[in-house]
Amino acid sequence: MNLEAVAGEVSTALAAISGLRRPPWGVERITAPAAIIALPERIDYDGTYRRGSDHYPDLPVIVLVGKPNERTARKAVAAYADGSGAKSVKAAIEAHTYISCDSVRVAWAEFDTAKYAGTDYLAAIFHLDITGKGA
Amino acid sequence: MAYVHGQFTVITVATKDISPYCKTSSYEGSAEVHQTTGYGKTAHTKQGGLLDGKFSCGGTYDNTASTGPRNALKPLLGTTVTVTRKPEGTGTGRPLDTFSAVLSKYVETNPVDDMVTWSAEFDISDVVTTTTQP
Repeated sequence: MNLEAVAGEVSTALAAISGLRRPPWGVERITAPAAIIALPERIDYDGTYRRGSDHYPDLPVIVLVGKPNERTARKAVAAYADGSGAKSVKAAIEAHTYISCDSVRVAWAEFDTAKYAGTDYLAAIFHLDITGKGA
Repeated sequence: MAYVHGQFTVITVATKDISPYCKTSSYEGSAEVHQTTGYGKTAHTKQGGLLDGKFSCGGTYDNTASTGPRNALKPLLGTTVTVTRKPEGTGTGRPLDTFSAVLSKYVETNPVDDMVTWSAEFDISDVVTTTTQP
């Protein structure tokens, strides 16, 4: 399971959400709403014998929507956090058929204020549980 | 002598390598013990009898490969199969256990918040042949 390939496929899956930008890693400026695929908290190797499987227990996808105190930002983040629907991050990510890994599940989400390039955004952080082949 | 990590373990059932789907496995050898205590003794005396054994394994369910546990094991329930076990992995001089066993149980478990898992139990028939790998 290659991290870059998995992140690329998650980004492709998010393309199903109309209007959600997917800026490449490291860009200096973004325009909200935007989804940033961060690095996994850790990689658990050797889930089964003979390099059978590896596991990312927590790959964060951070969706930045707008100014933290704006009513429209709260409304937007709620739509992305919905478990289903056209804007649902969980639905979009889990609907994709992956070839870089075996299983992708959006396990949970949390909300926070995130700063990107000096600007504060209301953010929903989605935590992905990913399992795939080890070798 | 050295410690050996479990991740290199190799298991085949009916020639199919199920190792990539195994998280755990356990071999348990046992023997009958007969009482031979006679009158006048102050402690039991015993003698070993027939050998017996069980083998179990389990791990993460996989639906794509022909060697995945459902395809490889479920059709074999109740049949006698050849099992090989390399407890230290593949390598010259390392041990290889070979035995016949009846696949007596196959279990699939589907938790709502985790991967599907499987497990299997084998009752060993006849002796376990231990050799070293060439």
